[in-house]
Formats: sequence, C-alpha cells, structure tokens
Amino acid sequence: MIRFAIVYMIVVAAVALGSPNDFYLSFATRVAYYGIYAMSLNLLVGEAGLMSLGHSTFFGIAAYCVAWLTTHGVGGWTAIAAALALGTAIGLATGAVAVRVAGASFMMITLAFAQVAWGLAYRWVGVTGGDNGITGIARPTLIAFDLEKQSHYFVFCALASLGAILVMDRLRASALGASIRAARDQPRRMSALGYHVWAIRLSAFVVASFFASVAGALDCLQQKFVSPATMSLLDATMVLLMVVIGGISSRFGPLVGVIVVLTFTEFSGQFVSRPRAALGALLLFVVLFMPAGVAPWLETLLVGIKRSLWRARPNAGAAR
Amino acid sequence: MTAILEAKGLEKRFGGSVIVAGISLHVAEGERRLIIGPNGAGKTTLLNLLSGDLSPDAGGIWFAGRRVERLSAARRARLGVGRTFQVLTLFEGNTVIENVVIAALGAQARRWDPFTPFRKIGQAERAAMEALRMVDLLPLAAKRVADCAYGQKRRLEMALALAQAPKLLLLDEPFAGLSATERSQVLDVILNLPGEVAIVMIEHDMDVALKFARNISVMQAGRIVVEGSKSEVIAAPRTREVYLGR
Repeated sequence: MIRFAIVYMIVVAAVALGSPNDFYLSFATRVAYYGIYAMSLNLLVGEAGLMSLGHSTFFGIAAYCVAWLTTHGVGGWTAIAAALALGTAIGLATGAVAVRVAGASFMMITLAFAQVAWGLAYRWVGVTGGDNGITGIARPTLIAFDLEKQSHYFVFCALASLGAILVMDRLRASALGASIRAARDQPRRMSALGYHVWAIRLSAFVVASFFASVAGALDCLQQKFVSPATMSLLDATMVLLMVVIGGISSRFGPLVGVIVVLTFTEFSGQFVSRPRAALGALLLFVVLFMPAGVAPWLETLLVGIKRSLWRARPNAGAAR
Repeated sequence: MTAILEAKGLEKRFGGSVIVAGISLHVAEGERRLIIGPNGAGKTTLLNLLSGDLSPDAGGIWFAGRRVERLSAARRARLGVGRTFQVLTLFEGNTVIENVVIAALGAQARRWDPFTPFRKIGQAERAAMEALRMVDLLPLAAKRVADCAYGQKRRLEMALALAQAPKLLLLDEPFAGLSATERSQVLDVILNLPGEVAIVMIEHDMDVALKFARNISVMQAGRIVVEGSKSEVIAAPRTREVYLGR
C-alpha cells in the first residue's frame, strides 16, 4: 500500500509539473475524483454484490448542495461539509429501504430513487435552476493555496482521492470488509453466524454514498456548473461501465477503468465520429477478451512476463 | 436436568399444508438428541424453526430460559445457538482458516471493525484455530475451500458453528453424501465435541446416527410419535411402523 501511495504521488507530481496547459490538468483532476466515485460504486457492486443504478444520486446531491450553498453566500468549506453530510444522510435513508432486498429488486429500487432525484433537479426550478442548472460557483482557498488555480485544485483532488482510496482499501481488508463480501456470497449462513445482513449491507451503502458525495462535491467545484445531467441514468451507467471495464471486485480495477473510459471518451472524438458507439465497442471487446476486466488481465500479463524472464535466465546458463 | 432448549406447541404451515403440527421438545444441557423420521416428516422445518431461519405460526421456544421464537437467526446465534446446513454453505473463494475466522467474528463485537485487517484480530484467530483443531482440519488451514474434498467441507461446515462456542448445536444431516471413511471421520468429530454442548441432530443414516444418540425423537407427518432413550425408541413397535409401514 505504501508502494502504491509513493507511485501515485510521483505520477501526481509529474502531471502537475509536466502539463503544458490547463486542459490536461482538468482532465487529470477528473480522473482523480472519478477514481473515488468508481471505487465507491465498486464497494457496492463488487464487494457487497448490490448492483446499484442510482449511485449518481449521491454524486449529484452533493454537487447541487455545494453549488446552491456557495452561490448563496455560504463559505466553500462549510458547503462541502454540508454536502457530504446531506449525501450520506440521504444514503442512510434510501439505503435503509433499498438493502432490504438484493438482486433485480435492489436495482429497480435504486433506479427509482435516482429518477426521483433527477426529476427534482429538473423540475424544482426555484432551487436547482431546472435545465439551466447552477453556474457561477467559486472554489475556496486552502490556507495559502488558491484552488482557483487549476494546478492547485488538481493536487488537492489527487490528495483527496489518495486518502479516499487508502480508507476504502483498508475497509476492504478489515473485519467489516470481509463480512460485506461474505454477506454477498452466503447471506443465510451469515445470519446463522450472528451477523445482521441488512445492517452490513446498509453500512456498505452508507460508506459508498459518502464517497460518492465527496466525488460529487469535487466535480461541482471542477466544472463550476451543475445540471440535472449529473444525476442522469446515463451518468450512473457510465460509472458502472468504468467499474465493469476495470474489473468488478478487483482491488484497484475501478481506477484502471476510470483511466481507460475517461481517456477514451475525452480523446476518441478526434478519431471517430460516434464516440458513444465506439465506447460500446470497447465494452464488448473487454467483455469478450478480458472477462474479469482490464486490471486482472494486466495483472496476469505482468505475472506471465515476470515468470518468463525468470525462466529465461537459468535456461541460458544451462545451455552453455 | 435444566433445559437448554424448550419448545411448546410449535406449528408451521406453508399455504394449506401443515408441516410442523404441534411439536414440543425438551433438550437438556449437554444432551445428545437425534431426530429421525421419513422424508417429508418436517425435520428440517423443525430445525429451521429452532434456529430462527423460520418463525413459527404458533407455539413458543425458550433458549436458556429466554423466550426466543420471535428473535432473528442472528440474535439467536449470538445467544449461543449454532447450526450447520444440509446443503454446504461455505465461503468457497476463501481459505479454510478465513472461513472459520469470519465465523468466529460473528460472535464478537469486533465484527464491525472497519479498520483492523480481519486476520489480525487475535481473539477470533484463536477461536478459529481451536475450532479447526476440533474438526481435525488444522493442516488444511491455508487451503482454498473450493479445492477441498467434500468430506473436508462437511467438517468445515461444523467448524464454522463451533468457532462461536455455541451452547446448542443443531446439525442438519451432517453425514449427507459422505463415503464410509468420511462418515466415520465426521462421527469421530461429533463424538469428541465438548460434553457441555447440547446437540440436536437430524439424520437419515441410522448406523452412524445411533452411535451418537442418547435420546431419540421419531417424527412423522409433522408430529413426534415416539420419544425416549435410545433403547426405548429402538424397541418401540411404533418406530418400526413409521419406518417399515404396517
């Protein structure tokens, strides 16, 4: 884990210092907080086995909360704290209902919540600005660092992302993390062992909605704009796509998925006239040739390369 | 002897059919009770009522003097009711020891720990090791469950329940599908369990089951028709009727 953090920091420093302009910095910033978003969804989909179609709800609620508060005279940090609290609280309330069921029913319930949230954002014009959304959002200052500067904001998001990844990775290995996976595989056995399966699933749901809120708040301050599209079904499926392409339930698969999908959507427009169709083709390719996802595929590839290098040496010696 | 488990007038219906029709049961501390009966007699349903997997339509259950029939399976497990399943219910992707550690944690408040790696919780680790010793699986601790033989999985199934140091152990056909050698291994494990643990076992295989039992209840069509010590039940003409027909 320490090695991961060191490599991560080196990459962040290289990007921050080496970017020719704000375009690449903005892109890297989005990669950073989408990493939090996808990791949090993987906690639900991969670890808890709960296929959520409504994860964008918490992302969007936090984004709207930051947007509304900062444009109504509330300080940036207070707005962020309020957004995290609101997103998590709504996660607790909706999760308490949703995790009573699993499988297709869970999917439909989360979809319903997501559609309600989207409908509110679209129709509650007085608060959300309806289709026009909310604009004119300013970033706060962190001690001496003005986050309005894109390089500062990038480093801030990258550090937040690293922190979130470390916390979620720690959770994954913990007793609670083990019971989240066990409740996915054998819920009945878990009850017989004294575990409260509903409470375990709810805890995963609440943690996931907290981290989705973190990502949503960071997104709002990056784009300086929020609209109902943030909470659309399309956005919810896009994160799901990142998790699936990266590798469901693999340790850092979602991060790989974020890099692959964001890079693809950002730059494929220059080469193909229909980027979304191309994205579909990419998904098909991954599902067919890397069924476990890109990250596990890369892992086996690396292990294979290491092994063949290891073998090559003694053989070369023996041939002499 | 004081009762660890007491059931009175238990009833369970599924739609129109009555599966358990007024069963009363008295199990003493440290007792070894065998429940037998033909297929469809309601044995597994009775076990599910006792463990909390099902809740009864009528009647009451007392565990260690406490009324429990409305408590969830998880609550009863924490009070000290352990069970095994007829169909293996293991965490196939994990190793043997990981399975038992998860089981041991279920009885401890630290199951909610979101920070400490789950194999670093000493208390659970020790309870898991002890349970594996009891079922003679210590040498396989690091093996993946998916790679274990069926007989080993049967014993692991039992270790999961034992890791919580239950006061009452409910065994649902622990010999199902085993070879003769594996049956005798599982029987050895059961015969060597701590004397203070009360055991209620459901079983079809009479040969091995009779070696275990001190008291037997014979079930038929949702009722207990014969009950008593092993010799009394074997000698009772009603037992033969149930098993061989008139």
